[in-house]
Amino acid sequence: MTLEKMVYGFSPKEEQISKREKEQKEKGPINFYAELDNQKKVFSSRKEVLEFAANNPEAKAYLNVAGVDLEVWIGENGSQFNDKDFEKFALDNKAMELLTIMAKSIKLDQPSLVEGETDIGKSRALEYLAYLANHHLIYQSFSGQTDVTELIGKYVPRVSNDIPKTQQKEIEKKINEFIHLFDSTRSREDGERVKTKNEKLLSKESQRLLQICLQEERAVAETEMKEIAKYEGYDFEGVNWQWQDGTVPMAMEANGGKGCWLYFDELGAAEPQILVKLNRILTSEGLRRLEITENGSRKVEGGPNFRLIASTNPPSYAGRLPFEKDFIRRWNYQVVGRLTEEDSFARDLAREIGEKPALKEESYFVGRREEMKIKNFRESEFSRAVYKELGKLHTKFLYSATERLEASPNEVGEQSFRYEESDKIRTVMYLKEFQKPDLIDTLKEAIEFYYLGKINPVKMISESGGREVSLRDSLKELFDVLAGQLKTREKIQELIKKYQSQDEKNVALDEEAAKAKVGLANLANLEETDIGDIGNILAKLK
Amino acid sequence: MLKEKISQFIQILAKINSQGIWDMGLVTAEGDQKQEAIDAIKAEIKDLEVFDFGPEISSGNFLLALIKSLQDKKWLAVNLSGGRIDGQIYGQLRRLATTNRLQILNWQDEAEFNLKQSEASRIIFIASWPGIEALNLPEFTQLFGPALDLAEERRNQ
Repeated sequence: MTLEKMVYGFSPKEEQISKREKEQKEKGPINFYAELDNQKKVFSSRKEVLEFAANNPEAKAYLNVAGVDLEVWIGENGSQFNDKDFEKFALDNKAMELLTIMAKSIKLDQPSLVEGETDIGKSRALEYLAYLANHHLIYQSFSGQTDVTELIGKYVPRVSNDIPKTQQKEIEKKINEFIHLFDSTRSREDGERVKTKNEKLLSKESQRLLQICLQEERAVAETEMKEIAKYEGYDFEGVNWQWQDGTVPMAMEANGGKGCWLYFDELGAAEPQILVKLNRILTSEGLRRLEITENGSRKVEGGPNFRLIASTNPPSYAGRLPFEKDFIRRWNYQVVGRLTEEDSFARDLAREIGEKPALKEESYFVGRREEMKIKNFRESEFSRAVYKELGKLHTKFLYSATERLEASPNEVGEQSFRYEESDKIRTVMYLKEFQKPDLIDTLKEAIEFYYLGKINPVKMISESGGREVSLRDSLKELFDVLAGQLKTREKIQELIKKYQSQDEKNVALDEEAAKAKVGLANLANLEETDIGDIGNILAKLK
Repeated sequence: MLKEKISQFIQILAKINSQGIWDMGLVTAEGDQKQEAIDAIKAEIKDLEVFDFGPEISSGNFLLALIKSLQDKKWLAVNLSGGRIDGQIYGQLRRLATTNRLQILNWQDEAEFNLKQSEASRIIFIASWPGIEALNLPEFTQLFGPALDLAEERRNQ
């Protein structure tokens, strides 16, 4: 029995969904289709769907990854990858797990941060997804040397065309020298990098100016750059200073303002002060706006195709500190476990002989596209009732889960986080986008995606009786118990109906109807605050 | 002995392709071993460029050499003797290590410059351990597939 049936007596298009799920299983976890004149045409490869879209400009092309639909970009400047790049890509269970996490974040237009060991293929999975969806990918690798100007941008001197060609080379050489000197000093000041042997740095006057910019958490303005150049003895007469965008505005405005995907690779390797500066782009308004004060307060608008995906190694890696809670809450943060022996074997096979073992059926989700079409259901009176029930279940889970998390303190180097309002909003978005016939199951998935995935699978807690259990498993169990309580409500309603029917007929009450009578009497004693709290109702009925 | 080790190392770099990706190699050596290693690599690889990476080298200088060797389908031996692997260089090395591609933004007159490493090209860094530590870049050694420590034998003697 599904929650919808419980609340309003039927489950829309359930049979149709089952049919679609069956189809999905037959087609495999990744497939393509196009829509043209309300007709759907299925394709077996990326190449075919792109060709069809190229010949039919009105068509919309889609990629379906484990039930998640992403629009395939059919305009100019698509993916930089080609079929050959992924000839030996092993689409194993781990790759599917990564692809599904990333595809969902892309679909939901929320920044994704995936944490996992180096060998699980985070970067490769994203590249594969970008290739499948035909989106261009811009990389930003992070290390201890990453400077905020790489992300946002900086002023650079450019040789003017008015200067005679004979002199241009000499000036370019000087510009190179100056930029090298400037970047070396900036990275040292910004990242507390130790000066290396024989390394030349900017003069004290220039460093003072640089410090002001760093304290104000901004790039160096044009006038300041000119001043620094002068301090260092560079006479850039006839040289134009031009603003050069960093990776973030570049990706936001790429492809004529449409935007493209931006990948923050090894985010955890960045110095903490760089991570703090990222808050500037991860604001509550989302990722769509960036104001570059250094460049005349230019406002950058992220195009519709702009997405941000980041990966990081676990905190135990060299040089890697745990992220701050305030930083983590800005992302869809997922911890992905190690490769299983089975996946490892699958990759070996793919690498050595090009054979790609079939995926296990349970390793991917199926059939969500049709479910997403049930739009009328969302807007109905019944839908509000359903979401109200789910909201209660969600809140109750959060409350109980937080208690458990607080009872199991983090060890040094381990990630820590808390549940916040923003996570709730993400969960609701998930429910709307990925609803299944049984919304409790969908909520469970959302909870796994947003909460449980953030908990290291090897983190253990002691249960009463001293038994060591995985915290993640324990919370999964907790959700099942709470969901079970909600589902019990339907049973209670059945019992009440039975009692009322027998009472009306004036017949002797059977055992179940008698229980319902007692239960109803107890319900009358409930306080107003208990109404709607299925847990309390059940406790009192006992 | 050194020559044999280098020869074996070159074979590994030339042949091992991990999920379609050619690795970068790291050779660590002490003192005069560095030059011996470079000479041994030169003897093995016909199409080889050697780049001396020191404190005076800017990211622009290095990237030019890297691009040239990849475009010419040559191997590149980078003799690391100080200087700084800045964010831009690290980013490109990381791209090469994971995708065998360069993606340089704002490169000369192009907003985005892309280049794919050919099957005929490989990158080898030759450095001393103190030189690596001085980079203050904990992720540096993770860039490489095979790593040959020539200095180990000397230390054990």
